[in-house]
Amino acid sequence: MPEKAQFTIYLPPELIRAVKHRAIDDQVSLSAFVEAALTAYLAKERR
Amino acid sequence: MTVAGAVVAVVRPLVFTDRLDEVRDELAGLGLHPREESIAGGWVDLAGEGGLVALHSAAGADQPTAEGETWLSFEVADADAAADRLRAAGFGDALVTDEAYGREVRVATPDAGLLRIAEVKHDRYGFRGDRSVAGSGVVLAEVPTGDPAGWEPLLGALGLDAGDDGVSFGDRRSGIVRLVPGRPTAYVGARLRVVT
Repeated sequence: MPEKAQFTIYLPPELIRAVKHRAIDDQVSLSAFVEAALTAYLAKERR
Repeated sequence: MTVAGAVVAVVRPLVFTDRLDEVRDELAGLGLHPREESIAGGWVDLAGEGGLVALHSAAGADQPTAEGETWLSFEVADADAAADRLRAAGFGDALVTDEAYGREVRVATPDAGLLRIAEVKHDRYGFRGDRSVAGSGVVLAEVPTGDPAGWEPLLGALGLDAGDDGVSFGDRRSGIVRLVPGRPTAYVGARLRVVT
């Protein structure tokens, strides 16, 4: 597994809550969910 | 920084297993009571008279874990207060992080292992169960270490004081950590026992 680094950002509490709930629904860790979401967004932007 | 006020952590070994139902039933047979579970499966915890045991799917773990692999962990009411007390005790890398199910403190142990201390779930989305239940056994985690003296301030910051034998920390309400000579592991491997 590639080395991971901590990434601290500030988000609205309701968005944090929604992201956590979606990670639970998808049965993935919060880090894995955010990584997948950001990677997909950046890939879409490049197209 | 707030360091006043007692932080009393509850000992909560984390067991990775893909025999979740069987292990839950085995522990229930030893007196622990199933307390909270993930609605989607893959997680359940059990309460004793003192201490908790958490069971996590081995296949669903973030990193490869062997069947039955057990890590020391704790549960605290307030992750920020626990991290403050750990930093004040000299564990300057104690850090509160977000997880999908809540928050946790991560801190390096004297053996350079990664200890994870979970905050009580304030948002129980995706989980069900009765958190008020208690069982009849006391959870004891035997933790191999090459630096027992280094563990004392860490466990003290979590509100677990040394017993008369000098190697057991905590009591019948918190559960017990017993330090034993041995080779520590990266995620603070432990041996779980339930005692009466």
